[in-house]
Amino acid sequence: MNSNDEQTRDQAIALHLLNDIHEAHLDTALQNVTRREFEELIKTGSSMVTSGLSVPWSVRASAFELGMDLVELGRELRLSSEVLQKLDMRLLRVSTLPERLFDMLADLLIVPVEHIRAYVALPPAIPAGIRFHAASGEPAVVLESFEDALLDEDVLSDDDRAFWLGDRC
Amino acid sequence: MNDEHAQNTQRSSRTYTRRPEVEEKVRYLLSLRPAQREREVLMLCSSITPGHRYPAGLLEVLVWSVRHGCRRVSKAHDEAAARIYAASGVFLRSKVRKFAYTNVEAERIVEETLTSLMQHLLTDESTISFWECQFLRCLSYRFETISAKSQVRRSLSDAVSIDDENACDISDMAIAVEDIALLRTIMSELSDEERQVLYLKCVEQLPEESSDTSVDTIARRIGKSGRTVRNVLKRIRERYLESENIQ
Repeated sequence: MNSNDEQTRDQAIALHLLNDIHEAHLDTALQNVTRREFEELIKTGSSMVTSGLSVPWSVRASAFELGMDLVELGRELRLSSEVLQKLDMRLLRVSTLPERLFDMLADLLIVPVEHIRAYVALPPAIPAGIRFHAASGEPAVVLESFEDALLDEDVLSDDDRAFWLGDRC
Repeated sequence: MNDEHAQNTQRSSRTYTRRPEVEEKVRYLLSLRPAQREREVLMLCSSITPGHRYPAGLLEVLVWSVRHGCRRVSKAHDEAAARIYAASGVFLRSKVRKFAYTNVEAERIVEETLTSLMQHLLTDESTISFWECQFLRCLSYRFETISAKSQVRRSLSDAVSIDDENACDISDMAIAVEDIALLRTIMSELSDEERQVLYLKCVEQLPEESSDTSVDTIARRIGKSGRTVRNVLKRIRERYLESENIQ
């Protein structure tokens, strides 16, 4: 083996070893930090992540990235794709949305529940062909309650409707 | 084989290669459906926690997960990034204690390094690729750079503007001064057996041992047991951790 080969070999060994030492260093440091200190660091890290760049997102797109369309997502949630479509376009009144819908959606889409809350609280997406108020120029979007959206649905089974509305249906 | 993201072809002639354990994990994650993959990443995140042994190469896997493996809006993405931040914070704070900084200055250097790390992690800069292969080394180098900048700033009373353009261009030559000294010591003090074991592990990247007789292993090459190989590696690590006063 010539000296160049040997040098390259030694450098490769050294770099791997250095990594190994750094990992041992981290391992030791992790043994010495308290759970509370570590949780605090995670919290700071989380806030840095969420305050970063805003990324375009929608219920439909998020489901699609997981290989689901709104029909499949609706099956999991016991909701019709039409209701989900309204939710995705933020045409449902946020105050009428049940808490467990947020939880189930967050679980299924594997996204932070706060993100879904923030998303549905955005102004409604304007559906194509919507009429505008002549005076103000504002779109004439009428928000619907979650309950009304479910009661209007023909394709929803009684069981599924009862799952969400209980004795109100 | 590493994917294109693990290569830093623009900045360096050298192609970086993930370590086998990292490459294996990345391949495994890639073989999963997106939902399964993200749940698996969430499981991996919980492996980095106080009181648990740090699994080798995990931060590199999480960097890959944040950059390529998870959706940008997902629990797994956010959790992995937050764990990287937390583990890096722990690592840097233990590192900064070796320097004679005031508490305020030490904390500022750590924060600056972490902010820089997160900026690189959460944006699409190509230079981040290398971090997937040698995360802690890159972090350490970034820390040294910021620390050195701080020293210059202190000596010149803030009146200096330091070109930071190349600070994150971490090439294979960019090893912190402190690391170079350590490496010299390491390489000069290895016995023949240790050199051979390290060569087989680090350069040929052979597994320590295997129950499959068709697999080439370090133990077979040197005619010793897997336990002996592990002991040699452990001995080397312990010796240099002692010399670093880490333990």
